[in-house]
Amino acid sequence: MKEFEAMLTRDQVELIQQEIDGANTPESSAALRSLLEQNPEARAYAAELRRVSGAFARVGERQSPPSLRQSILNALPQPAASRGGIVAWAGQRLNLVGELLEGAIMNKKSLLIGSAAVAVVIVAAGLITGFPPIGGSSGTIGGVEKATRYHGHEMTDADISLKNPEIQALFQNDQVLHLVQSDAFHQLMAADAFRTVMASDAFNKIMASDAFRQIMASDAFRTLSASDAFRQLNSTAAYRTLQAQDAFRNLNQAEAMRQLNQNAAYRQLQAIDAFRTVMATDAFRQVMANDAFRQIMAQDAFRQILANDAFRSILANDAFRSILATDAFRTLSAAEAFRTLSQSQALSQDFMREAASQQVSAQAKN
Amino acid sequence: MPRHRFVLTAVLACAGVCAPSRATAQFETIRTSDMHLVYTSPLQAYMVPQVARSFENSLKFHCALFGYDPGGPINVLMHDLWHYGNAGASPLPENHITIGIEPYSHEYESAPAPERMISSLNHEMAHIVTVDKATGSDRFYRALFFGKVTPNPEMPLSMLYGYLTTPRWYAPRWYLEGIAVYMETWMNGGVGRAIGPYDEMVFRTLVRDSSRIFDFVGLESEGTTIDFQVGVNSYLYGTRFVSYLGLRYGNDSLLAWFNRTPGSKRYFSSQFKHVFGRSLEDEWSRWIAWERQWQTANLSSIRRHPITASRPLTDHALGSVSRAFYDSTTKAVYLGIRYPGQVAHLARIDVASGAITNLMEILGASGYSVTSLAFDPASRTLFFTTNNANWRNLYSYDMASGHSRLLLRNARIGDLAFDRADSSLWGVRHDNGFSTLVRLPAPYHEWNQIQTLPYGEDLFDLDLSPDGATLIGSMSEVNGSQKLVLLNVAALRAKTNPKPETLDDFGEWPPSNFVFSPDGKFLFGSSYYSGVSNIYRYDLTRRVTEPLSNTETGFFKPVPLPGDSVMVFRYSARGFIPSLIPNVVPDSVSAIKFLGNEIADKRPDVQSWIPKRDSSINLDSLLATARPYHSLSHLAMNSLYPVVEGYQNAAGDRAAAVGMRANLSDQVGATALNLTGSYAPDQGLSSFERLHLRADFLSWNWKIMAAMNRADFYDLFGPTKVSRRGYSLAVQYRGDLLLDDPKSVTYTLRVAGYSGLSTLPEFQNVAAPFSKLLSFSGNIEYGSLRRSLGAVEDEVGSTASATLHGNYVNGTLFPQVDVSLSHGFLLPINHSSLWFRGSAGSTLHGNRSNAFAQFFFGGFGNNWVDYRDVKQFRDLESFPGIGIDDAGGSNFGKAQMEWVLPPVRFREVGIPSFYLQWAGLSLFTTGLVTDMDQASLRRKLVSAGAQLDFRLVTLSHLESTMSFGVAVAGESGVSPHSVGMFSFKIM
Repeated sequence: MKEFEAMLTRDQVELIQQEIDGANTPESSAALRSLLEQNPEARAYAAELRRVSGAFARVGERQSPPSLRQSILNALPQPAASRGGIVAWAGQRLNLVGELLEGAIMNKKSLLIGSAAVAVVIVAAGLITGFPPIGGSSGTIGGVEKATRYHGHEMTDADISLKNPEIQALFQNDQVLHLVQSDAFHQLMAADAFRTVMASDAFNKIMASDAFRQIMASDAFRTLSASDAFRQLNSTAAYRTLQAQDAFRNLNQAEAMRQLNQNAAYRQLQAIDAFRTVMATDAFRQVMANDAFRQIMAQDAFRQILANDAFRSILANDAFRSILATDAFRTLSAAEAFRTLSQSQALSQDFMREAASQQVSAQAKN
Repeated sequence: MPRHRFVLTAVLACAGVCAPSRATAQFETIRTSDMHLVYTSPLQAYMVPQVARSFENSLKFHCALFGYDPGGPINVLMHDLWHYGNAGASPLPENHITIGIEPYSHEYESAPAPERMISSLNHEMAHIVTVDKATGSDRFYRALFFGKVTPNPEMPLSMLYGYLTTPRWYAPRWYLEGIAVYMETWMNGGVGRAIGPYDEMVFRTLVRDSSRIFDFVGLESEGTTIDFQVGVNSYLYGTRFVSYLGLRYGNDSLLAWFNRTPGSKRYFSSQFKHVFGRSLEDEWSRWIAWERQWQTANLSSIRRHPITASRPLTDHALGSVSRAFYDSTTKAVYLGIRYPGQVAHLARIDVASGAITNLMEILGASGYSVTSLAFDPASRTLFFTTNNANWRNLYSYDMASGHSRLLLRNARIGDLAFDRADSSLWGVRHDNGFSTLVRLPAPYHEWNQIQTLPYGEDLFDLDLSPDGATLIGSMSEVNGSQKLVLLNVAALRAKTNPKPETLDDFGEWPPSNFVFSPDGKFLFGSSYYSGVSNIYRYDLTRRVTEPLSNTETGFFKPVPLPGDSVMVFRYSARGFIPSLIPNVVPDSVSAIKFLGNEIADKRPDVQSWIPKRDSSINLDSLLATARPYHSLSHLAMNSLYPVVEGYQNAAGDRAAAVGMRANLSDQVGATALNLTGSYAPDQGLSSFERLHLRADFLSWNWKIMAAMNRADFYDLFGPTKVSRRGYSLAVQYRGDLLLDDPKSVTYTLRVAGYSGLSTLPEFQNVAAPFSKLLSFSGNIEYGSLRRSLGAVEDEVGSTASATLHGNYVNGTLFPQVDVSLSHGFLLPINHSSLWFRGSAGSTLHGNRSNAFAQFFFGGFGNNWVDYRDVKQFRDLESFPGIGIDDAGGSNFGKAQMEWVLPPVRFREVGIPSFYLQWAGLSLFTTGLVTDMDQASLRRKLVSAGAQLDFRLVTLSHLESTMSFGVAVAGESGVSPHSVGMFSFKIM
């Protein structure tokens, strides 16, 4: 179904979906009929949608366990990031990739196949668990004559045209609001190093690469980056010292690896529980074994970005680190909408633009 | 349609106080061929597609129906400064719509609506079309005056020009709102007040109680001012009358009344006679007779079954009421109330005696719901909200100490509910167009998001079960439907996004204010299920809804009481009456009929009034055109028209000057430039003094004024003169340190230079010793003034100001300082208040005999014809009973006491185009001491006086005041001196 959808415009897809949902006006239905006559992909997509819709209709409505939605959300693939404002977050991911490089050399594990089916599960889960409410009763109340009320055209969701409301909805979270209005966030956005990284070709190449998107989207990567152990490791002084070493930046060279093994900070790191915990996780091993991960490691752009002073400066930036350590960041990065926007440059830019507006609003209120 | 200028000013003021340099810099604009949209924050950009499509759909529909051509883009200002959705429209100086983005209020289902942007724009576009559409003669005057003229009190001739360019704007509000609500309802597919159960209840109750149904002069003069529904009456009466006309005469005739077609009459009531062949007064009377008949039939239907008896708890109606809570400890009910004559307050009602105790004032009470209220019975604390129309503040009130405490400023949270299990507060936060269920753990200084609803959905009327396990509320959707839903609190707190369980959707009649019974086994609430708002009980065990009443008017906001009774609020024409009803299921309840249904049936053309969805707008490319909004670059000519001014030189020679005035402004009114030039051909004036020029430039907080031989229209009349010889240039900055309605702290900095002076700029009867002057001043001012429903002016509150002023003349600086305080409070008599005012000032340096080192007092201050505030005797410089500037000194102390008597309202004095609205009397006494530090110069004066004001309304919009005053002044060793005063304030 995805391949058909990819060959259609957004309006065409919407037209077909609304027809299936019964939300099209007579004019829209006529337009769709014309489209279906002329466009084989549209016909195929419509047929497939009808089949799926029919399958759902045959499935009885069941109460899903309260934890289902969250379980599914937890299983969502981590989105790929793109350049633009959201690269602040992508930077964190890239930081993670760099940090994991060491592990990649030491832990040659087998690959695990990511689950592309997860996306399908998400769609189904949305249909089953989301708003609007279902169930309940309506109709007559004993002994009460119901008043009649004229009903003409009824508005539906098809009457609503919004541009990325999910981004705005993110700002309704108190923690996210605190985060984007925080001094740390403000400092990060104002940092020269941050701007330099954003503008660097190497960084943008990495962000735009399919491999990067894949690794960001992998379940294992998301699990790992969300783990407390990893966050703890990331904040240790030894680890940060290590990051600044030339050897660390040239890990794919044997000599560099040798230097690293002799490095005091590295030895210190190996003694840290969090480090050992991270190394022992399945998620870590899965990421290390990921093809996409390996492709990233092999890219020149990746090496360039690791060697980039501005990038290193960002990684060492206190404001950046304090953001990563916040609950708010965890909340944000776990949000479905955030993952969606991370996969789009335009959405990312919108997010950062509106985060900046939130900062201005907060300052104005104070 | 709120008075649009006021709305716009409020928006800009709020935007200004929210950091002039930063917040205003966030304004963005998008232009299409039909619309110039400005939104106050980039955060609102996600709604631009919805506004753009709703605007286009509505505009195209109206253009087709009315044959309207807007002749250019319509300005739209979108903002997020109100707690609930609302909008306004004005044709002046350009077509303009202001729209707030939050969800609508659902209180009493008084304004049913589907999606807010579509609904608001359907309504506001009807205003634009019906007041802006022009005939050939209207267009001629618009061309002559370079645009539509906005009436300006400084230039009263603009009133006439305004009427010539936009005649249909000069109509009563009920006329304007009636058609807008009618159009909106059908364009919304039948969702709107034209089929509103609240509207039916209002008129059914008037008929049941044999109460007065206002004629249309009484409606304007009294109904929209002293009735507890105030301005809402314009919507109620307008919608009802327009609907009646639609049903009786059909929509073609109805639309012809509102359509400014060639050959149509300029004035709305003349056009009525032109279309319907009878006078508006006659038809209004026929409507009232029809209404009585219609509602009698509905009452008969209700009376087919036994009516539920209710026992009132109080001896009078309480006006508007909030949700109420029963305190079993004190056997009292706590709630917020707001009724004409007294300011809104938290109140305690003793259930046994009905005695009402005023606990504390509620600042910024809202119209129907007063405040959002919650109650913690354990700590005996009430939680309530202030600034309810704007960004609500959250307060607590400790019943033991009687003290209140601010918990959260700009919380934007309403629909409060208290969780007795963990002492947390729950509520619904409105922000940037979203409704978010939030929880506030003690001590309530922060909120945590629980769940944000998708745009278009709203949750309200929350309540929590006694064990804190379950939350209930009403949930509304895009199509306007509402459901009673239940949510598991544990799941909500675990952020598992639990699915709301619908308990009952009451068909298409929404549930309201459902609350748990003390044992948690039942829910009590109301619904218009039968067309009448009755009380319903939902059994959580049996999952069954049962009626508990059959009332003729309407029962709302039930509070289950111990035993077998339920407290409800019974609707009456004077507001809601707390009453007791039995907790017993009646036999049967009959339904009533709706006027709107009858129209849909008999006049089916309304069923086709559905705007087509226009998907031709490319939303992506539209958003790509967004640009920062700079008001200066949007400055454009609004109008240019001839003026007449008066001028008086130092020798007392008077002359009339004729000239032109040009008005320019940007599209949101943040920046304006007014230029006036006139020439007096009078040979008595020197050639230099014959030319008069003035320029006023205003941009956000800045104001620059320049003048040459300043002249003024009002100098043509009376004793007060503001015209001055010479040149002047002044720059002023006004900033807000606090704007938390009604409280404000503002400061003003001003520097001005004068040249060629012959008279002091501030004192008309004092000659200037030097021709050049540099003056500066800094002023800080606090204000917190309030008024009750139906008031004609502020009745309660305090003000304070301090000013440092300096005159630099001929190398000498004359600094002066003065302070003023005032405090007023309401007396037990409704609308009657007592005010105390005090002021003192002193020159800090300089020769005290120099005029620049003195303060001057005297006179009422009013001119024969005026445009300034009516009660000038309250000003620092006035002293009724002596001549203008007759008393002066280098320092002073002044005190005044004023008793404002209740105004007398006139119900039927006048004709639709000109009527008397009210008369008000003030009695005052003033004492003044000058040169307090030097006995030889010291003067002690006292005066007593009275001022009687009559408010007149012309062409529905233009409020004039005729004032008469008399005062007697006395001074030791001098015979008492009396002075009379007459003044006509044009607008």
